[in-house]
Amino acid sequence: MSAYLKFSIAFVLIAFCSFQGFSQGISMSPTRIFFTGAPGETVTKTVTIGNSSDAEYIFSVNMKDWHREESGNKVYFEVGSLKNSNAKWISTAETTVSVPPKSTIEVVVTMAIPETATAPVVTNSMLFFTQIGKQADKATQKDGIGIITLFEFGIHVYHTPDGNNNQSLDIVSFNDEAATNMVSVGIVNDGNIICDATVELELTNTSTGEEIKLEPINISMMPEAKQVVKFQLPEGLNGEYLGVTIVKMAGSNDLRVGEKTFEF
Amino acid sequence: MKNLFIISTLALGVFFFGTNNAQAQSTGTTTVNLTLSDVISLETSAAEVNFVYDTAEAYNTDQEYTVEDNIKVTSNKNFDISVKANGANFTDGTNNIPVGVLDITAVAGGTMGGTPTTVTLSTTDQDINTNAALGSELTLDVNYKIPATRSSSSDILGKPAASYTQEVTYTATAL
Repeated sequence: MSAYLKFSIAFVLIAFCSFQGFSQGISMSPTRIFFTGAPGETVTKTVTIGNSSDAEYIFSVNMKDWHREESGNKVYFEVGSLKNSNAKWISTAETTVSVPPKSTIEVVVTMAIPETATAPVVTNSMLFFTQIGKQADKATQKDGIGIITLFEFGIHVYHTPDGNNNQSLDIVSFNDEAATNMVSVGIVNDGNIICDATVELELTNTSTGEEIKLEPINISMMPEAKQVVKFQLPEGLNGEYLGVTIVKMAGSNDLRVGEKTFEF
Repeated sequence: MKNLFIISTLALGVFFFGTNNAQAQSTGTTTVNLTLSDVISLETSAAEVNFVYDTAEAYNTDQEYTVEDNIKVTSNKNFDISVKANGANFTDGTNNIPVGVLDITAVAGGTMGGTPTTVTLSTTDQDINTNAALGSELTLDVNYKIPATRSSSSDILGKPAASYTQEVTYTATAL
């Protein structure tokens, strides 16, 4: 038996045990849907919702536009607000789905790509499954101010036109932000597809040779997007440091490297 | 002696030949396929948080509750957690208290990483923990606070005794 096969079996067992034991809640898969297709085509994908609890959950299905700010935070808008929205192309057979206890259901998500969607740009939206509260929760509230906590899942929905296949990021800035004791790395997506990447930062004291490797930060960027990734520096850095940042693009060996000397 | 040698040689030959044959028959190729899909799971441990104002002191004191392991997530991708109110007010059906009286803070201390923050509740999605690293059964403690400056204001003080409720929805999205 090869080492690879042994590893694979061990991985499956570990993954199986982990996912069996983790939760008495709701799970969604996938977390991002990537559609392709030509203008005029109708394409479908399936979302699987698992309920490992003893209670039934009911979700409303709804869409929103969204974009990511330079800070990396997502901001949501009503459907049709953003120029690269595909929210109006999306539909599901039902606007409310019920997931019985200890069961799994599938929801078919349909994208009808308009004939007019000929521009070679990636479009996006967010598909939400929002838990609907039960009357029983409200009945147990006491006098005072009460909060009923519910939960919701947002699933990214992307459409990438046929022919878009250029994955590329570029480093556009690399700065010391002394006021907040951070170093920031500005990145733009100058390709034409969604790009996931890991951003690394390593600092080397030019006098002592001391190396500081900071925790990598993951990013995911739409084409033409800009993001500023900020690394919190350890307290007490003093002297001249050579900073090297590496942007590793997912699914390829492609990377970008930036280098700059900082005086802390 | 000669016969014994011949018999032994034949026996050994049959043994090795047979063993090799048997091994050849049991040898094959097994293909193990792993189909991995992105998945995210979310649960909240406490269905309710209640703030009670039954004394004068209660109105003039910060009230806060920290719910340990309030949110539990399993995800094979980095993720964000945001929060919003499902309405502009806590309400008893007639009278209203604005949801902005409540601050919600993701408290560092659970097993969930990311960048935790404090938000003042509103109907807009606001991140309370961003870019949390993937993992299994990651827990996040959440603090709910109504500062005395708000509970002693007309937002709360002077409102009829009743049960004011509002739904608060936590949203999990992949990075």
